[in-house]
Amino acid sequence: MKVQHNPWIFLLSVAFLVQLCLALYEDQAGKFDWRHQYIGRAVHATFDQSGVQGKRLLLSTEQNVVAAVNARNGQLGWRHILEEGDSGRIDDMIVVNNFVLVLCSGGGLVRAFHSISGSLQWEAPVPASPAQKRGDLALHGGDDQLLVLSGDSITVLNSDTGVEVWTKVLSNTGTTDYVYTASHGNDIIVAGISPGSHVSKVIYTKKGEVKLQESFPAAWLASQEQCQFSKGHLICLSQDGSIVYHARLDSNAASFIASSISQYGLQRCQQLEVFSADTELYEGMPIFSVRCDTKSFNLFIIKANTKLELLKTLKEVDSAEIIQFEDITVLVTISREDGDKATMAGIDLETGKEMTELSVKVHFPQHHGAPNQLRGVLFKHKDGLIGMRILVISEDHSLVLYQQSGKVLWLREEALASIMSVEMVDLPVSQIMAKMEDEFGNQNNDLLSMFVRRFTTQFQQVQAFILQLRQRLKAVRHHHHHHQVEEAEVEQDEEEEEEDEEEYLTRDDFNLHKMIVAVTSCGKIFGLDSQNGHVVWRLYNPLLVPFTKQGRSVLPLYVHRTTAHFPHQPQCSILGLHKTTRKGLLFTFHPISGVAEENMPASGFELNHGILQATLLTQMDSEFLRPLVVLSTDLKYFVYPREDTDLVKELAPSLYMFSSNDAAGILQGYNTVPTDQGLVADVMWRLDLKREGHAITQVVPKRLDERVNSQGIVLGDRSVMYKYLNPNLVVVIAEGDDGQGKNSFNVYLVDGVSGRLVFHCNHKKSSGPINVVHSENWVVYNFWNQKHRRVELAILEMYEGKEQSNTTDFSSLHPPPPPVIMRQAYTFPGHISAMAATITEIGITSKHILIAMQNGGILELAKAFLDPRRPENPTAESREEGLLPYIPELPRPFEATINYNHSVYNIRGIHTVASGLESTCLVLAYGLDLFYDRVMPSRMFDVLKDDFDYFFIGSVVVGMILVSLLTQKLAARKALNRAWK
Amino acid sequence: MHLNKMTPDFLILSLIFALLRGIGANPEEEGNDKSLFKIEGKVLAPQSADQDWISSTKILVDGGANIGFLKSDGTFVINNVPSGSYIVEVVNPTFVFEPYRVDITSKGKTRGRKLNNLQPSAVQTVTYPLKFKSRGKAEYFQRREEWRISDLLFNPMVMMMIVPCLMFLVLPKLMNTADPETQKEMQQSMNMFTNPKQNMPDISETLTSWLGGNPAAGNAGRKAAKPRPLKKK
Repeated sequence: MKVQHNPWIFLLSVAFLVQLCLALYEDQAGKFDWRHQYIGRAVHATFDQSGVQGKRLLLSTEQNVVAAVNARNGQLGWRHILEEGDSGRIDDMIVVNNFVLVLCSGGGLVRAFHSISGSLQWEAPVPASPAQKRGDLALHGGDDQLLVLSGDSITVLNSDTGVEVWTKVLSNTGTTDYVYTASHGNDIIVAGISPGSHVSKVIYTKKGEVKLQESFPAAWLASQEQCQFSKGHLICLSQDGSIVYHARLDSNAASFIASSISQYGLQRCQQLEVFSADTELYEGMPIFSVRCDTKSFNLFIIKANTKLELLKTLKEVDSAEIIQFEDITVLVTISREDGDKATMAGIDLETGKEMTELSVKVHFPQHHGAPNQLRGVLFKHKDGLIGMRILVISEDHSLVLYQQSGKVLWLREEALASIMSVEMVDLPVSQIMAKMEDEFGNQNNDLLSMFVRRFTTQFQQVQAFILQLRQRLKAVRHHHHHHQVEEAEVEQDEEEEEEDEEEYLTRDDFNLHKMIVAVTSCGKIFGLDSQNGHVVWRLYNPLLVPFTKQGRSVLPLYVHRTTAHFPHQPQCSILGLHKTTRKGLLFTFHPISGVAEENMPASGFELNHGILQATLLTQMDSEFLRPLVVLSTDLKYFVYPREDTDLVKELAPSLYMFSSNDAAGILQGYNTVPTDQGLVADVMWRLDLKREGHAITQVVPKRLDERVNSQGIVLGDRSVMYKYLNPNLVVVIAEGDDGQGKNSFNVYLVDGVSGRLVFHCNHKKSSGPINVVHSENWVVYNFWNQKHRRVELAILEMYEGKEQSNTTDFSSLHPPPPPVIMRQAYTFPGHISAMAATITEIGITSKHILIAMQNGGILELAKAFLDPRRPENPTAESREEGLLPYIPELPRPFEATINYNHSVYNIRGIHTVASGLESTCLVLAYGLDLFYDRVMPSRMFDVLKDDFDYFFIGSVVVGMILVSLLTQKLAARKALNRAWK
Repeated sequence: MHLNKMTPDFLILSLIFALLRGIGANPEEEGNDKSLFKIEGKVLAPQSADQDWISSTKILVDGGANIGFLKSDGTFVINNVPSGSYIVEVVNPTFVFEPYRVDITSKGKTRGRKLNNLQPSAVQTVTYPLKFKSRGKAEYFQRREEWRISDLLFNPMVMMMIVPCLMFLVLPKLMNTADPETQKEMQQSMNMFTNPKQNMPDISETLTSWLGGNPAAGNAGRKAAKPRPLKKK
């Protein structure tokens, strides 16, 4: 690329830049925007034992995050986000002294973070493991040394400095999965499993010499999941759940000892769980539990004479944990009950008696699902009584901390770190407004009653207005002190929320206040208040799981009916798969109240087959509901709601669908044929896009709700160039390497109805991650240029030319001549994780592109920078059109970072939605963190700015009036005086 | 045109690196060569940084393919990096740091250079281990215009109003009022203002007479001489 450094161009662009950047004022920070930070689904959790006991919670999560959470209020102390994907996956976490040690075996690293400050103490490379293999950590030699089992090797590190003491490669790694390491006196045990064959173990001396290497048969062992390791023992449960096998690994000539469970009167057991608490009780032998068919929870211990002993049988325990405190060993359990309740109980394991001071009924709502893990600390109060704090990690990824009294200290909804799809739904109009609207629906009313009704509603309106005014005045006074409280709070206060919810959740004047409906990967659905991000309602459907599309998990959300059709209630659905049957599952609910549809089975409507494609029709039925059409894998249509099948039949001649077979690189189009068995899809066209081993990675259609009100652009010579506005156009990206290690990708523009290839281009020596924005008549995508090693943003714009072939409608079946494609590419100084275009109600406001970057910023870039017509040498005409001169590098001004220093990380998507103001677009960026804001691409041209100085204007006007009155008086007096002279 | 400016050393160096990189990219070579290297450096504590700047800072290699964290003294080591060329950037919500490019040969020789996206082959080496120095706080916000009295006073419109006012009000005072002749003069000129019927002299003429007289404020005689023609009228 030739680069010209023309100072004149530079100056000009700077001038434009100043004009195009719309920055916030500092005092506006946090006024319309909010950010929530999450950590994700906790896998390992430990109360920090250093310093004040139980003050800090140390966690590592499925989202590759290590974090410290303040146990008093649930706020994040520090948080480190490791590499995405397998290289940052945290296999194990140990807390020793003041350090959190985490093993990322995929990336081949052990990291030690200081538990208070979060700074890195040391980082040590260890042999990396392949993707599926998990490593293990253990302490050795009085916590001085760290044993790391990772990637076919055992490594011993100094746990203070991270310096390697020795490392040894294990043998037979092809057949044996080494998964466990432990310290036993001076020796080091490493154990592995060969499913269906045997168990291997190696004992090393302190210096790394092999002391013993042996294997013992275990033909009954089908998979690793059957076994657990604890305190030098391997404990397994047979597949039919009738026999417990255990083996001492630290002894010579180890072998399995089988114990039938039936001798304890138990059968069909499952869910083997070991407890790792360091207890002196029972000579430190391993304690484990199994759940059997009566849902009983049975706690066993392996005695020194290798016999099992049943310690305790409890009814229906959801989760349990053993906590050691001074000389007491307590088994803490939680069991769900009917309603939103659960019971927590503490049992002293030495005496076997229930500790009444630890048994308490707690509030545990149904939407948490089952509690999966318990963590707790015990401490002594000043009066000698034992207190406790219990953390419950549930199926829905939530973290709840309970105090001894059973009070919820805090709650973190970590499911919001894995949002799959988002919609913002308009809030309903207030009841009074609804009554007004009701009036127009009824025709059979007589004049008098209509008059009375109109009069009363209007009177109520006045009343409501006065009330509102009073509240607003109150709120202004309330605001300052409220703001400070909010900062100290991580999660919402439920009581506060319920106050005046009915009044509060109504549409505002400009429709800026919306309900954010967020669907998360675990099947939990949230309704968030767009003003502050507080959770208004939650729904949990544990059977709903995402399905895969273009290599990505998706869980699409559809809005069947908005709130605009009173008295019909709004309706949304989620399309996913059933967890066990893997068939399609449709879950329908009310997006404002968060109540599941009444006539629906509890888990949702189940489809007979998997999902190939689904779309919401643009046509509405007689009840203003937009039906959802799902094309199942057997090429049959499923229509929801069922009653609308006839409507879809009517529309069948104009209903076309397409699907993509991603690995095969095939795009297939279907038309709809009504048959006796219902609606059936018939293959109409096939497009083979498999070139050089490319697989389809993205299919990006246009947004259905986007409106384009400008049919063309006016050129410098006063002629019009018409946009190519094909609503059926989809962008297809196929990525792959050419077999010689060189990556490339193809961009196809395909008409989704006719299968016509509109445009195609190839990028050599380029790879993903690719993000595509498809809007109006343009496509913007980013990729990594391997040759020049930089991020590039490319723009494609399509024009029909100087004449429009069909001015009223677009038809894919009678297409206009192939469009003129203009394209350009720019380098972008940053790595992009997600992109989206702004959208406004009527579509006359200029477009901006929102770019979420890896450094945590969200950049608002004017589309004018990404105009393929930016000339290298500006002419008078181009200047008149307002085209910026071409500069290869796009700007990244800090003022255009909409989230300022509130960085958000691992953003997967940006959802934009129009508000009632044409100038304003609402934005929600979601990923590990959430960020919500309003953006005004063409500034706020339709209402006064929020910072408009009413006081100043008012005081100037009043001042002017006063001065004019005063001067009048003075002048009159002077005239009088003169007359007297 | 930029190549001409470069010294031959740089050219050769970059050529060598380009060659080495070419070899590194060769698939046969890559199969054997699995050795991993590290990138080292230090982030100097920015001025006015608060306590937790260390935990809120991280180092991204190629946008997060490898991530480094800071030790309490601001140093970092990024392990397990294969040979190649990488963009290394420091990420902090508050402070801005310039990103660098790091080249690692297949033998593990490492160098740092300035990041130039437009001319990736242009080499401008920086010290290695890398040293990141903050360029200051990121300016996320527009400065709000504050209402200050000085702004108002130095406004050109206001200046245009005030300066003549000052001239009218202050300058006469500056003149020697003790001098009886001047007093008389003043009286007369004041009379002229208050008595509109009297033939008004041109303002500019008055001004020039005053201004002309001002430098020679000490010379009362000459000053007194000038207004005299007015008297004759």
